[in-house]
Amino acid sequence: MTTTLISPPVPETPAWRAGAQAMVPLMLAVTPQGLTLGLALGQMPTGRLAAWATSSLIYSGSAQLALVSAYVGGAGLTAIVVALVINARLLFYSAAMAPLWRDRPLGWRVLAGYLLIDPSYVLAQEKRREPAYYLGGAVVLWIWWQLVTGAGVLMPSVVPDLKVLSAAAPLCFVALLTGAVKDRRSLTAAGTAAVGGAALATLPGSAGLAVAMIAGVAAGSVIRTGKKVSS
Amino acid sequence: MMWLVILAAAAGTLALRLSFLVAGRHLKLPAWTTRITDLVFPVAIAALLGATLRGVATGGLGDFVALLAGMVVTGLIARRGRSILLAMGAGLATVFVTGLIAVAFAAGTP
Repeated sequence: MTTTLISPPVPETPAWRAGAQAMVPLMLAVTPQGLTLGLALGQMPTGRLAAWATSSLIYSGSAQLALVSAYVGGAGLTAIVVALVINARLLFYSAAMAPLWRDRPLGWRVLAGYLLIDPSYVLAQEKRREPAYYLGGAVVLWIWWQLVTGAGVLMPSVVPDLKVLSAAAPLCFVALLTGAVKDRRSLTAAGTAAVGGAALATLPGSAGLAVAMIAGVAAGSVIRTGKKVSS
Repeated sequence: MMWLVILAAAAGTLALRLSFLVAGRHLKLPAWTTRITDLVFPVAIAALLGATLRGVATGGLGDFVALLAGMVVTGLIARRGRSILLAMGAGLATVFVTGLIAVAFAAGTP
């Protein structure tokens, strides 16, 4: 008599949990920025609640800081414009994801759109056909962002020395760029933007970032061939 | 007034995020914009990286060299298809060790 051994099926990790797990390194990367942003916001004369509220209402670190700084500097309308210029890239993220999420319910698209920011966009691009993967990571990131900025705003004394940890963000940028630069076109665009970002970093209101991004896109768009970057 | 500014910026930001997701059927991007959507992410990350490097460079040579070493290690590991977490962990360790060496070197310099 022969017996056939059938191994039980290995349960697959749900997509939302896989997304949450994939978000962990990106959460590590945004932690120093969140803590330092929280510290900076907490010192603004606008009131801690108003400063922290930007984390959920605007949910974009560089725009949050630019908005509050410009407002404290006495420029209300300029503050709004600066925040929107910095966040203009979100329009392109929205355009890029729209065809993929077209068939999702309206409420789902509103939630997914609200959570759309650089790290969550990375996840959305990683597995473009798995909406639950995106939402799992995006929700965890949102919660984490509220916690780390809140810690900086409300409990500045508990924020640790960020000297080594502050390297996490640029290192994460490098790791993400390595995956995002796939051909000569994206390499040209990214190289131009990096040089522009460094050269124009001192422009007021993070305007240098916007100019560097526009220059990068312009440089990349004149490259026609899609020659692969060798690994 | 502060709340008004925050709410206006929040509403504008949400409109940017939702524009094509909610009204995609009625909005149509010009053809040239669809050709550059794949460049937006690398360009945004690269610009942030450049600005960050500039900030570190003005902080001191030791910190800058340590970060550069960490970036090289991170990039090499990520390029080999390893996880981002592993690449960042190795990069952070490199930054830490190189930073210690830089401090020791500076202390030994007359």
